[in-house]
Amino acid sequence: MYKTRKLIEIAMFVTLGTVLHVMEATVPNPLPLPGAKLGLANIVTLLALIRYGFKTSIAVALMRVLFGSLLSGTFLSPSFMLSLSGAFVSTGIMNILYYFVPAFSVIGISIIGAAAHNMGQLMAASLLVQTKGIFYYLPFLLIFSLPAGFSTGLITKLLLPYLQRE
Amino acid sequence: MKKADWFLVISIALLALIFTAFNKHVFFRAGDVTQETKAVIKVQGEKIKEMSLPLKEKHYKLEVQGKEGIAVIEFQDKQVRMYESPCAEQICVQRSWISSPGESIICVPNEIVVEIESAKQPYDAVTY
Repeated sequence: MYKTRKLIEIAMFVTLGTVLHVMEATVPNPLPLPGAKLGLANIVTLLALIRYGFKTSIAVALMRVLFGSLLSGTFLSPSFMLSLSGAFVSTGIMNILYYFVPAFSVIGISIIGAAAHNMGQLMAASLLVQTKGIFYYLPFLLIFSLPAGFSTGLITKLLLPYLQRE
Repeated sequence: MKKADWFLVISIALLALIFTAFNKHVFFRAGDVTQETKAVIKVQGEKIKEMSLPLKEKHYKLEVQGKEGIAVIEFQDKQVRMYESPCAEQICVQRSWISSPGESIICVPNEIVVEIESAKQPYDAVTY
């Protein structure tokens, strides 16, 4: 029973993550910050982390980026590299916090994940174009990651009881 | 939200503030605008051209082959802008004119960077 449930949940996480990833890319950004978005796909990564741990969360994040980029036609393009590095860094940091710093709640982990996502993206972007000038943009993204991380964290917190109900 | 979460929010906000101050005064020190400047153009991480500003011609357009296609960089007096770019979001074109040292136009999809540097370095050497 447990195995089947796990399989279904992971499949659901990957599907939902892919859909959210593609949807977010098609919704026009109302802010004057290019690249600033809510990061709704982070919800499923966080759910996978809390439900099934490190390996599953990394797998869900990577598959979500892979399928999302295939669907939106950005596979192996610069924006794919940015999503990939952002997802990788944020999932890694969220795992470390979840396992080693119990003082944080789900919302705190989500905020750190959003901030780490932005940092990972900017690191990849600066490697890609070989300029440090892009870090000028970091403070704006960091400030934006607070409300974004808070809202995705809140959604995760509200969703968890439904998943944990057997 | 636990106490630690609030602490986290405040420290990220502080970090952003520190970065802003750091950017303004250290990282991208805006030089004196009246001194000699040059525009450095990089494609895919490689410096391909350096133009001392202002150019002899009043208007000058330079075509640069980027990763996605040909971009047109326009020079006018001491200002530079991305005039045309094949990229989807056109963020580089909307960046408009830049002229003071430390400013830059960065086009991520096309992998083109235009930076203004002061021709005279503010320091002789920097040691860490």
